[in-house]
Amino acid sequence: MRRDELALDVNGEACRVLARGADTLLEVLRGQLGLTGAKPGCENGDCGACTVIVDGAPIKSCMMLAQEAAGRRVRTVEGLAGTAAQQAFVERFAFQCGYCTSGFLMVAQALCEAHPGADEARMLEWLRSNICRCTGYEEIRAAVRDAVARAKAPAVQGTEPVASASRQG
Amino acid sequence: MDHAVYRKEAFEKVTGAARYVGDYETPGLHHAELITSPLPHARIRSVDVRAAVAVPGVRAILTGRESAILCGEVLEDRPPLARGRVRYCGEPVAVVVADCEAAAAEAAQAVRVDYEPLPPVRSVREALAEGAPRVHPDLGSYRIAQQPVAPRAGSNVADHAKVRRGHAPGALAKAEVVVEARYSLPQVDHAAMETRGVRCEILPDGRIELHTCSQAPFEVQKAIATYFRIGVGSVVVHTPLVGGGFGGKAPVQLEVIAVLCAQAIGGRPVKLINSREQDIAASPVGPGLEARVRLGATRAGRLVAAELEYWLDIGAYADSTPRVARAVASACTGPYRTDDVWCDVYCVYTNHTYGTAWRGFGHMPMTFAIERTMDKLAARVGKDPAELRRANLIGPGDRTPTQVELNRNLLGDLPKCLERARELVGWRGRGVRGEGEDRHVRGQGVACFWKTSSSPPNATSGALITLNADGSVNLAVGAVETGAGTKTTAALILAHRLDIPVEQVHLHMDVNTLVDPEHWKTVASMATYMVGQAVLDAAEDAVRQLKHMGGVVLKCSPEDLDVGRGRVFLKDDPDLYVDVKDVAHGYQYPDGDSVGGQVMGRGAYIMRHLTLLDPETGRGMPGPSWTVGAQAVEVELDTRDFTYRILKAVTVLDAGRVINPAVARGVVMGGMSMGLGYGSRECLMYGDGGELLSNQLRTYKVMRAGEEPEAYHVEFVETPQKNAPLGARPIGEHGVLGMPAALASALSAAAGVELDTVPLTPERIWRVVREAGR
Amino acid sequence: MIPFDLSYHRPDSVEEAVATYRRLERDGRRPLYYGGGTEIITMARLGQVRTGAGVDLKGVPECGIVERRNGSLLLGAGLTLAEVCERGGWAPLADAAGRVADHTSRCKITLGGNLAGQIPYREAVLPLLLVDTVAVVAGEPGLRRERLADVFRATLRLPPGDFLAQLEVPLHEADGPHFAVKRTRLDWVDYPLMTVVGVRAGGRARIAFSGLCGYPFRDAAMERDLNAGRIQDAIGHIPGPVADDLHGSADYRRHVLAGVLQDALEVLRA
Repeated sequence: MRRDELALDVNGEACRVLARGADTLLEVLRGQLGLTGAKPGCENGDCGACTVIVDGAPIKSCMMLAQEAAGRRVRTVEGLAGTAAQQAFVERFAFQCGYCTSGFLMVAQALCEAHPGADEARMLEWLRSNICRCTGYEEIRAAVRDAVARAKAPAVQGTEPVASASRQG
Repeated sequence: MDHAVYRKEAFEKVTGAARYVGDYETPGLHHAELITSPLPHARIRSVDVRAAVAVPGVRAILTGRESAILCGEVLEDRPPLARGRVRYCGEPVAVVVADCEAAAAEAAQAVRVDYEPLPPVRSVREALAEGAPRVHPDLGSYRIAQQPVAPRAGSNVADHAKVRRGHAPGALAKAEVVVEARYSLPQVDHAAMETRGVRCEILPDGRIELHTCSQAPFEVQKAIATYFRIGVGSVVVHTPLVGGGFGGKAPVQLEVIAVLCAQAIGGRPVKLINSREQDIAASPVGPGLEARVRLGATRAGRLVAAELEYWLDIGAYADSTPRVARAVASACTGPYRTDDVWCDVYCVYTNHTYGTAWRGFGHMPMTFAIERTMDKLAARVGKDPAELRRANLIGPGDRTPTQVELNRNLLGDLPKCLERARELVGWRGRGVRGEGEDRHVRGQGVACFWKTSSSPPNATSGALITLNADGSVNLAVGAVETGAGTKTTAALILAHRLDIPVEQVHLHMDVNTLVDPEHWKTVASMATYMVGQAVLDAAEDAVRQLKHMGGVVLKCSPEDLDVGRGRVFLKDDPDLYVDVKDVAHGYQYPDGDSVGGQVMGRGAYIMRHLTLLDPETGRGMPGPSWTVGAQAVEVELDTRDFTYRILKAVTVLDAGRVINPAVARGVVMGGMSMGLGYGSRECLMYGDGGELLSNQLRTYKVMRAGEEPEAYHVEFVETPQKNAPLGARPIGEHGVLGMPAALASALSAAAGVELDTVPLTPERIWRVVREAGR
Repeated sequence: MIPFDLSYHRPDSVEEAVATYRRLERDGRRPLYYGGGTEIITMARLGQVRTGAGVDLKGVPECGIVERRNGSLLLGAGLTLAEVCERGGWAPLADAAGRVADHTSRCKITLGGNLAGQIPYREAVLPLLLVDTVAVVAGEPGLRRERLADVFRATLRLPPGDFLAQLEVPLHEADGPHFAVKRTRLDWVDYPLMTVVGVRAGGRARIAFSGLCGYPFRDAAMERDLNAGRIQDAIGHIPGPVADDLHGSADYRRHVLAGVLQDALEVLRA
């Protein structure tokens, strides 16, 4: 079976891996880089447990070929350290078994960065991408609300992307 | 104790450091891939593995022919790989072992199985019909692994459990009012976010090492020892953090296949992880339920008799469902006082995915049947449904269906729970609000529940404590951390007893059967109850040793001493003490001479005074106590297309004593969410040919953010249970129990029809309304 | 895991993309153009599609464009649906595309991929069918312009080797309020019972549907009925058998449709 060398930028570090063309980013992160924070929950794009951030956007890593990620900045839960989202998830008891947590955190982190101070509707729309089977979602929503509010610090204002121009038709 | 304590593993879980069974990958680890049946019922004519064997990297391909093992917790009716015939869509037929996942996946696609379709049994009704195809022609010959179970040879009935108390048929005939209703509820998947998986290696001395995401590592150990005929001690089972269980990880399935795979490649390590499709179709699910409920009452609404028939759709194999049947039998009336009770619970084979424990152990669908019938009785006698329930609640002095006389210790305070639930939902009875111009109407529903453990009478748990040189404590328990915070709760109980901060209690999140004391299974909401008792026992042992050492150092009798806040001190003069750290590993006198050794506490617990249910009458003691509670739901229904919003969901349950409030509330809310999921959207759907249609999270829908109730109200009544650790009653499963019933009741009120099944999709409501001609 | 291997190609021009595809096809690799890839990856894992090569179009500059000119909106087919929602600036399209799958998936699914996919809903096409959208198609001689209505009939019908590069949407045609609703069995994230998108153009309602039949469509007879306020007649003119599946029965779909159309007309005829 043919495996080609592939250069990836993961959590700010240049990595070299061997991958089939058909290997997903999830498989390579877990199997070659030992970054097992992203979880396989369905490998079908349904559950969001494998979510990572690619060039600032939340991406289900089971739905991206590893080769597609070449030349792009990939971030995984292992690359988060001391973020408001992580803190809020602990404080709000926003997980039980923890299996879906990395995915939810990466959605929360991407949201904090792209839309600091995001409103409830946007927050919810982003969170609907993931499934948690243990909690009743109340705690997760509270945690993300906290994180998004904390992200709206003066330092990051002005980075609001072109996004808000939309939906005016 | 009363403030929120973070889970011990919290920081691992928010950094990706938490490791689950599938997170280990090493060179030399082989991969196994299942080939599963696309048909619900068929004879296997042949399995052609020629193309698959040719895939580079393939080391072995196994089918059912290579092993004679039959598995089953209660009844040994299931080959680990189908032998001769397949009995459900998704049944493992063969397994490929290869040196990497890609080769295993490629080879699995290349295996060709030739099937001769057989007529499928697609429902309980079909299974019981005259001349129905037999799912197990050899039913009479299966070995019984665990009594009681009563398979009926020559039929599709795997088991029959009975309750006979009083003379229900006679009492019903004399009752002033009789309501009768039938219910048909679908199978439900556990849908834990981590699919089931296992790794296995066989060491040169024959020892089998398994790593599995099991709720029952000690059961896996014993089952593997039995099936492979080796000593229990020669099977070592490791269980890391588990990504959700809900009962689905209590049975033993993939472990057996993994051992067969490891055997086939000379013992080398192999990993077998379910895809989501396999996890839904191939591994066991929660049983479906058909029910016929007849309740007799006085004209004033006082229950006098109940005649109940429950048929569990157990699918193709029995697994633990005979135990579920007995649990349902022991709680068959719901938490209501009835003198005359006849109940029959049947486990019925069909060609559906096989059943096992599912959060609540059969009580959720059973509660649906009882609670919906209570609503009908209320309507019949013209009473408010909550009031009717209140008037019939079982209480101290009453007897359960299995003839246990209740007292306040055995049973929480249900009237108080119901009263508070009514307040929290703002109970208006069956009245709906908002009709008129607006299309939206609001309805409410209420449900009560009770549940005991239905655990084996000899279920055990243990705890081991060792002290560190700084006086902190290591705690080893055999319960699995599935997300309910069991390990942290155990640490809290120990910290409370030793009067030290919980940070000074260290424990490992995994279970290793070689070193950890046995814990029966992390199921039945019993972990805190059983582990807690063992921890307290171990703490006593450690305290006794500390006092002994303290007596030596302080030159007094151990009886004069107490232990707390890191000290062994004189009861009557706490300023005279020795630090625990100075005696934890023995005491050293100033001249260097030393006495004692490391302090190690051992604790053990075994269930007390439980008995098996009598096969004819059901008489027996099924568990150490009954946790009770009341739930309510308020919905707003759009009467144009019958979409709805869940405005409020309420649970008030008697927790005895709440140990970690944020965690307790979270577990109950999670249960409510799952129950509302079953009530509204979840079900295993089968096509006309018996094929499984919903084998992905795209088709097996579970709740997502935004679909939860607009407000959860969770409150606890606290009536301590004297024989439980710190008085805490089991609460792990209970949030789920009455939710589907309360939702159906609320929607029924709003829609003005009787909604007697789940899931209650808008289309289902529309259909019932249309058929009712409203 | 995908049970077979494939090679991944990321051309950076239209010419290279077409040439790469043709070469792979000649080599017997059964290539597929690859947009977001979500459908290819899921179907490949289940053995429902088998390809030896994916030609990713996201590196083709023309496919990533968002431009307004002369009252028209030019959108690259390689834009993700999330980008279409955030940067596209056309509300009917944002509303239709914004309900496909879930937000994270929409950060991967592309506009072209949604239109060209095998999953039958292709909701992003609905607003595009309501105006005279131009499909800019890439092929052997380079880019060419076609009416979308000519190349998208139930599915995107392009000769093998061609791909959809851009869509040019004449925004000025739709000069009134718009309507967009997706209805499901129950869940917010699910395939549609139906997605209905409408605009007002020149005082008349134009409405397109997905989920109702096995393909998205706009139907002249239904629009005539609707503009005359005859909802039941419009339902009678649904151009194909109404879908009857695990998401919902045909009966229920018709029932829901009546209510949705009532709401649509309230908006579009106001």
